[in-house]
This record gives sequence, structure tokens and C-alpha cells, in this order.
Amino acid sequence: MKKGRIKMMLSVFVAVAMLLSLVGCGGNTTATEAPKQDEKTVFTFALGGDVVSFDPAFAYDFTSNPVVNQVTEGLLRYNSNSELEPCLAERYENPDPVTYIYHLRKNVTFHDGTPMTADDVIFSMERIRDPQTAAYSAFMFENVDTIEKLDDYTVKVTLSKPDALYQYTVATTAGHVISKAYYEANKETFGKPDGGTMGTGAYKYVEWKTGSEVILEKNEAYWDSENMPSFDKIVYKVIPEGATIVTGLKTGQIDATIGIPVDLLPLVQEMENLSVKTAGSFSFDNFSFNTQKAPFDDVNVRKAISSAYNSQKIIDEIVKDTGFYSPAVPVPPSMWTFGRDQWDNFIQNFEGYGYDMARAQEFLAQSSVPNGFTATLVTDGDPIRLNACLELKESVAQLGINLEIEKVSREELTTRLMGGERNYDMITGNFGADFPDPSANLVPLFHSKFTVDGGSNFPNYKNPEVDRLLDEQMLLTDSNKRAELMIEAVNIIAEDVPCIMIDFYNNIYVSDKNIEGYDIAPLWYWDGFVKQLRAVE
Amino acid sequence: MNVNHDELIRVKGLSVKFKTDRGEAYAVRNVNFAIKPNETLGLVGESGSGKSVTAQSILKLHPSDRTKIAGEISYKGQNLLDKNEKEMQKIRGNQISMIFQDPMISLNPVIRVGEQISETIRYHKKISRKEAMEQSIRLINQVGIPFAEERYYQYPHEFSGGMLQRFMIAIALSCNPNFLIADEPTTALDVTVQAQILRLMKKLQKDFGMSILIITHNLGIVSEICDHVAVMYAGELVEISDVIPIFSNPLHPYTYGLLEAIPVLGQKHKKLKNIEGHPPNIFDHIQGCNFSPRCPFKTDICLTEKPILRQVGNLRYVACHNPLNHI
Amino acid sequence: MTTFVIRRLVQIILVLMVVSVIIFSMAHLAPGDPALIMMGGKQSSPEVLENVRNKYHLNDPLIKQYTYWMTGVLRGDLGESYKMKQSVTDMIIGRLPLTIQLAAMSMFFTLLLAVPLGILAAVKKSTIVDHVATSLALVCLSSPVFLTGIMLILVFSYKLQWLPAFGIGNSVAENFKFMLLPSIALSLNMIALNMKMTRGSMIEIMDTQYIKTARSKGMPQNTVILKHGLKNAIIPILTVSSLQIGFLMVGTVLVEVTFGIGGLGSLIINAVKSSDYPVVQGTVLFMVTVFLLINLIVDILYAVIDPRIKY
Repeated sequence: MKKGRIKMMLSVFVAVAMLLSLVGCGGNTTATEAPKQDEKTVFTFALGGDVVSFDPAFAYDFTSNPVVNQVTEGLLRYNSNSELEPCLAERYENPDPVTYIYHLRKNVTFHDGTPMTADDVIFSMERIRDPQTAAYSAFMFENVDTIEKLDDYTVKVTLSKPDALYQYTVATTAGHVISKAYYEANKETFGKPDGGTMGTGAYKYVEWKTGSEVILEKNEAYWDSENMPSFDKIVYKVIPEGATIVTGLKTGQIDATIGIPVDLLPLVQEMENLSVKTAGSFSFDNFSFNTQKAPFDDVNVRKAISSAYNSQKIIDEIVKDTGFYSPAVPVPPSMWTFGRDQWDNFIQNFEGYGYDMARAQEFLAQSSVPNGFTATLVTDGDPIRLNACLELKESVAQLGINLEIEKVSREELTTRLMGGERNYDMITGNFGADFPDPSANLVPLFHSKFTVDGGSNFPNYKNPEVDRLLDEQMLLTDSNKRAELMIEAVNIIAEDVPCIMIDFYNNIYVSDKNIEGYDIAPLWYWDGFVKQLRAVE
Repeated sequence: MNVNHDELIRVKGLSVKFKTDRGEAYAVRNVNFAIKPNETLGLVGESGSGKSVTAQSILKLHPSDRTKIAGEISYKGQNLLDKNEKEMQKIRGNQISMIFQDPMISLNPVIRVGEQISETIRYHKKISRKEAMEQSIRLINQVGIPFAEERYYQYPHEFSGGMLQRFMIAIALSCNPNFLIADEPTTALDVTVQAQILRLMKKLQKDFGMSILIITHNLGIVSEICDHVAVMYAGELVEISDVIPIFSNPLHPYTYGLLEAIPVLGQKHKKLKNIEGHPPNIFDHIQGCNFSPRCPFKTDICLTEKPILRQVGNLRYVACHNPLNHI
Repeated sequence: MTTFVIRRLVQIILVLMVVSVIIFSMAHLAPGDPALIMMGGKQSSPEVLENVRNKYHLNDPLIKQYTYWMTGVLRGDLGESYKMKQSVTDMIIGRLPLTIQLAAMSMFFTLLLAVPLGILAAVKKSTIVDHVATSLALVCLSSPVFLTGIMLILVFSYKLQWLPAFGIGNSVAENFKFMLLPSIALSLNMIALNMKMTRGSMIEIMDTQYIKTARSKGMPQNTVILKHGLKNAIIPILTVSSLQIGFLMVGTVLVEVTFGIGGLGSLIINAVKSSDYPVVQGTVLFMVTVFLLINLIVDILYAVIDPRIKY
């Protein structure tokens, strides 16, 4: 009996498979190998998730921002030292604590050629403020009273009371300017794949295949002639799987990305075709005690557990190059944009409650529960947070404290952290300021008004003295005085031990060695950085 | 054995051994017969006698990895047992055709009946689709099915058993074979339909000019259309004869038993006669004559020595130590 | 036939109504507050949260929310995604072609390998060839899809650099290259079942009388197997394949995430993770509908292939 036909079919299949692989190998080089340098006009960037929206009102996360910032811009922007500098506003005045006057550039056009005027600016900002929009960054305009047009290129913002953080608002997506006319003509589709957006940035919106990729194109008529973009096109690829991103970096299918999973970083650091740049960020992981719930309302319990946590071990073994340690409160050196000496002084003299098991025993002995107790520690599966929990659990077991770890999804953790219920005993969490100002971490974390729904006062911390100090500094414009008040608050907080720091993140920018121009900064997520990049030999 | 040079097919010393889970066993042992052109031979026996195996061996339809066939099957001067599969494919359906017992399961349910005829013609005759179709339609008419052009496009499940067997015959005759093997062609059909089919076969035999080997356990059929009869028991031939003498004068006790078992109309109070006992299965080894355990006429020699098929008259053979003689 | 189809369509609608209640309940049972999750862990205020909740009717009683959603569905409006601010219908339609291409390619590879392997194993039953083929199929069955996917990336993208590791192209033709690895990863799992089914059917069929008839007509072995045999075997193969559509729907989730393909699978996963109820509900409802319709189509195909079947 001859199986000739079957054998033939199988060999055809094998042949076809081989042919296909040859096609993939020898055919389209841009898909599998990096093209020659003088041909390089497309910049490919890997995102760990999909863009949420091109509408600046909803672009408030680490995957939407790096995309949206290339297309729309704010009145101001940050430089590499996290200082404010002009952007769409060529200068601004702050004649009194509640008044800000922005003078707009006159030569700026939107991507459709129409000129940008004060009407567009006011429209964009009012939109963010409007409760109907339910914009994510609406809270930044909390203390804004009125926004007025003084003339076609001048806008005046009046606050209802002084707000030390307001100045930063217009450098974030909350201050991004969109075309009023375009929005009104495309209300239903704005921010979505069909409507895209209409901005003034170095790149313009071309296409968005949700879940897969975003394509932007160079804006030949970009207003900042000294900072014209080099790459003709940016392609963002959505790749949730870390291993796949690393493969893409190796083969050159991806030019750059920001953020690499902890376990894959060593691999990336060894690749010869890549350069890895690091900058400290304002974001951190920590443990929070629920200071309103027994026995964590007892400061000795908190001191005991804090003294039982071996932070260095986690940094050395788990975090490694992806982060760094900062003791006490969440204000790392990169955040000392003013009052530097005062902060330096504070850190030098700070003792705190670091790893010391003997002290831990002492504190517990003096507490309300000297024989130990059982409690729950909520965390998600993030490698750093989870490992820190396991380490802590093992450590405090020696004190007679049984910490049961409750592992939940990332989204559920967010709900528990940001929800007003606060029914946990201990919880891990992460947070990061939007502004280069210590109060941007301190206030949301430790001011009692942020224990409610949507607030990030994870430790449920309510200290009237701290509240008073933080409120007071928020009304001031004298940076030194502000630093003084903040440090006073910080000293109280440090003694109260509502949290235990785990680590601060490093922002890690990985790119092809032959692409230069950007040194990653703590506030990269408000940066339109791609226009600085150039391919070099 | 007389050698007759105007024979169409001669089976000589045919033995078929199967390999099964329980070991090897003979299904057919040392079978000899010959058929002349345009003659009909009936091969008679109970189920398990080896008659179907014999028939299928002629076309070498058994799975080759489990079957060992010894002997010689001489057709048109060539030994079919020497031919390879490709050569056999040229013969099957073309020079030698076969029809089977149950037409309801013998046709492919998902292919139109007409196509099942046409494909045979196309394969063997290499003519165009259109021509093959026309020939098939003519054949359908010839086997007695009206409205042949509509019927061509229908599926097997739309027909009765009798009509399906007619289609089977059409397929078998489509390439004008010299020799038709019919394995119990009417067993699965109604009695009235049986008669129709037999009549059809006789008529077509005359029209097409071919020999028929018909396998059956029904002696009535034998009397209707056969010229000669060969009786098999337990894989061996026990009697060969022309058709008329075997009815009036059966020589082998088994043949006699078969004839006696036919119920006779009008005999109301008589118990149905059957042969006591049952045939041996192929793994049984019986010393002496295979039929001896059941034979009412056995003698001592029957238990120790195997009888050989020997000629006892003109075209009359029997394998028995004590053949019956009613002359 | 027409009454059959109409009856089935009515049944499908009834099933979908029941399924919609189940889907709705399950989506809302998952832990997590959509409003808080939308904020992505960034700071907001109770006022903003309240605005968000009001906008999406999250404070209404469940029955009211369900009714609101269902009336929209009946109008063809699946609602708006909480996270992406886009119409769920648009999102599904936009991403559907990718998943369809992925599923089609997987099914193609499965059948391409499984059917010939099954036939080969059947024809060479109980020989070495049969045992090797069956073992091969079992090995494929045992490897989880995401593991196979990552291994394929490692070998073909990382080491050999023959194929891209992720993403999609700009056209259906270009997508073919990008989807080769993920569809192979998916198909490997399905091959075992299809192959065993084919093998079993073919063994049964080769034993039938009509196959013997075909051989007795002098038909060559290939014609016997492929024309006479396979045509009958297609029916059980079709049954198994239609059931595997269900597997494919789940499977695409895994490969889409691993390979960075923005199809329905990754849409659902992200939606479930972010408690994006409208997307979860809409997409699952859509997938269930597709599954039911495919089963209906397969049933109709039976009648086309097998002339004995009449509705």
C-alpha cells in the first residue's frame, strides 16, 4: 500500500515551513534586524500596556503619558533638573500669591495649521476643571478660582487661596493645550482611535491600533525651531510581556523602552547593542500601618516592626539596580529642588528605626501587646513588594508577631489603597509625586484629608499638628520657609513611624546604543523627549 | 485433476492462513476448482466455511500484512497470486468484479451513486467525465432502474436494498469484466427482490458474456442460476458437481444434510431437520474428517484419516470415505 | 432547513439572555472598584471619584445597572469602556480582525498537521509510525500555550532572529509573518485532539464494507483513503474542530499577551484586570454569541456534507 500522497503532503508542509522561515529571515529586514544607521527614520518604543486615551484629561499613567506628551504640550515644561521652564507660554508672572499670568507664544500652530490662542488655552484648562469631564487630573485645579482671557495671547489664573503646588500644574497633562475648534468638531471621537487629538507638539497623531501600536509623525511646522525632532516617525508597540520586550531590544525590533522587570535587568545590562541610563524617581514602595486600628495605633508596635525590617537585604538581593534606599520619609534627594541644605541636615541627623532586632524586642515589650499578635498584611504579586513582605513576616515571627500575607491583584490593591474604607491592618503600596516638590509626596500621604475615597493616605494617619504644618506651607511662596515647616512636620512623622520605606524606584531608560540625546529624568513622564533623540554612527 | 485449456479461471491448492491475536490459523485449506467462460459456479456452505475468504482471495482483498496465501489462481494463463498490488488494481473492477452481501453498507454514503459507477469507468478506461457519465446512465438503465438520469445524482440512503444491489451490479459490470464474483448477493434482500436480482444477473451474464462465481448458503439460488456447485465445509471442499445431479444424488453427508434441512411446503407436522452440532472454528484441530463429529454415517476410518477430494465421475468430486450413493 | 435555522436562532437569543445575567453578575463580583482603578493609583479626590461614579451609574442598584446595560445592548450599543473612554463596540470591531486572523491561522496549522498525521497513524495502525505520531501529539498537548509561545520566541526571535517576537504588521499579508509563531504555539495544543479524532475515525472507516467495495473496484489506495475515506471522516473532525473554537478563544488570550497582539484576547484580560465592566461584559457576550453561531454554522455544514442529514 503506498502512502505516497500523504508523504507528499507532509513534505510539502515541511517545505512550506522552511520557505516561510526563509521569508522571515531574508525578506523584510526592518522587522527582524535593525536597519543601517543612515536609513534610520523610525523610532520604535515598547510600552508595557496600552495607551488609555489621547485626551490629556485622561492621560494620567505611565503608558499614556510617554505617548501623549509628544503630541500635546503644556504652558510650561520641566528641564532635566526638574525645574520649570517655558513651553507654550514664553514667560509667566506671579505678581501675588494667588495670581498667575501666562504670556503665550505667538507663532505656535496646531497640527492642522490653525494658530494657538488664549481661547484654546482657556478651553483646555476649563475642560479639565469641569466635573462633567471627570478628568483624572482635575484635583490639580482644586484651588483655581477663575481663568480669564486678558487678550489673544495672555491668560490670567486666579486662585481662591495660595497653593504652593499650583505652579507645576501647567507642566503636566492637566495643562496641555488642545484645539478648541477641533474638539468641538470631533467631540464624540476625541482621544479615541478615530479622533486622535489636535496639539502643538513635535509629533502629530497618525494612527492608533488599540492594544497593538500607536504611530506618530514628525511635525515639520513645530514651533521650537531649536528643538526640531530628528526621527520622522515614532511607532509605539504595546508589549505586556517583559521577556518579549527584552527579545525585541536584543534583535533591534525595539529601539527603546522605559522600565525593565527586576529579573530581566541584568540580562539587558549585558547586551552590547544597548545603553542603559538610570535616574532616581519620586516613586517608592512602602509598608503602611493602619494607624487607626489596634494594635497598630500603638507607636511602640510600629517602632518594633520597623526595627525588625531588614531593608538593606531587600535592596541588595531583590531591588538591586532598579531602585535605591531612602530612610524615614518619602523625600529622596532628587526631590530637594529647594531648601537643599535643610533637607541634607535632616537626613544627616536622622536616626530613625532601622534594622535592629534587639531594639525591636524592647519596643514590643513596652507596647500594649508584648507577647505578640496576629495581623494581615495585604500585598500584590509585585516581586519587590512581595519579597519585602515575606522578609518582614519571617523577621517579626521572631518577636511573636504572626503576619498573614494576603496576596491580591494589582487592581484590587489599588482599590484597597485608594478607597476610603481602609479596613486593612498593614498594607504595601506605591506612590509617586507628580511634581518636583516634597509636599507632593508628603501631603497626599500624611495629611488627614486624604484618608477619604480617592486619597492616598495609606497609613490612615491623622495628626492635627502635621496637618497644620502642611497646610501652612502650602500657602507660602517662600521656599526656605516652606522647607522649614515641612521638615518640622517630617520630624513628627518620622517619630510616629506610620510607614516603613522599602525602596525608591530608579527610572531606567534602555535604548539602542546608537540613539542619543536623552538622559532620563525623574519627571520623564511629563516629557516630550523623543524630539531630542538622534541616531548617531 | 483434469486440466482444461478453455478455462477462464482455475484455483489450485488455495490455502489462506490468517494471523490473529490467538495465533495463526487456516481459514481455507487446499481448495481446487475451475470455471469456464460464461459458466456459473455456486460455492455453498455455512457461515464460517471459508467461502467468502476464498472468493476475496481471488481479488487479493485481504490485508497483506496479516494474510498468507498459498497456491495458484490462474487467470488467463497468469497466476494472480504473483501479481503486486498495482497490477491487481488494474484487474479489479475491470476484468474481475465483485459484488457483496449487504448493499446498504456497500456503497459510500456521501458520494452520489452515479459517481460511484463513473469513477470506476474513468479509472480503468481513461475516458472523459462526460463520457463516463453517459455510460453510467446507460448502465443504470440496463440494470433495470428507470429515470436513470435523475437517479445518477442521488445518494445511497435514498434507495431500497434491492435498488442498491442493482447499482452495485452496475458498478461491477461497468468495465465489461469477464468474471463476476457475487458474495451472497441476495442474502440481505427480501425474497421477492431476490428473485428479481437473480433474474437480472442471469440476463446480464448473457448480455455481457461473463462467468460468475456465486457464494451462497441457499441451495434454492444454486438450483436457479448455477451450472456447477462446490460445497465447502470447515475451510475445505467436500463435494463438487453439476447442479442437477447434486440435488437428486448428493454424495457427501454434509451436502445431504443441507438438502434435508430445506423445509418443504405442505409437510406440516414434521420438525425442521437440521444437522446436529456446529461447525468447528478455525482454531480447532480435528483428527480425521472435519465433519466426522456431526456425521451420522461416520466409520472408524473417518476419525483417523482425512478424506481427500477425488473424482468419482464426470465433473463429480467428493471428499469422503463413505460417500452416499442413492443411484 | 429554514425552520431549523430559525428555531436555533431563537434558542441562541434565549441562551444569550441567560448568559448576559451570568456575565453581568460575574463581572461585578470581581474585587476592585472601577473608579479607583481608573485613577491608576494616582491621587484624586472624593469629588472626582463621585463624578466618575455618577457618570457610569456605579452607584445605582445592580438591577438598574443591568437593565441600563441590556437596553443598550439590544440597541446595538455595548456601552463605553471605563478605562479607555471608547465605545466597546468600536473596540471589539477594531480588534476582531486580528483575533480572527490568529484563530484562522491556528486552525489551519492544526488541521494541516493533525489530519495527515491522523490518516498516517490510522493507515499504519499499531506500527512504529502510529506510536510515534500519537506520542508526538501527546507531547504537544501537554505543553501550556504560554510556555510554548515563549520558547518559540526564544528560539526563532532571540537566537535565530528569523521571525519577529511580537506585534503586528500593517496588512493582513504582513500580519502573516507576525502571527506565525503565536498561531503555531496555539495549534500545537489542538493538534493532539484533532489527530486522535482523525485517526479514530479513519480506523473505523477503513474497516467498513464500502471501503472494501472501493478497493474491489480497483481504486488505488490514495483514492480510497482520500476520496472515499476522508470524506466520511470529515464529520467527526468538524465536530471536534468546532468545539476547539472554544479553546481558541481562551488560547488567543495567552498568545496575544505574550506576543503583544492587540486582539480580543488581550482586550478581555486587561478589562478583567481593571474591572472595566462594560468591556468585560460586552466582549464575553460577543464571544459567546460567536461561539453559538459557529456551532449553528457547523450544524448546517453537517447537512451540506452528509447527504443523510436532513433537518
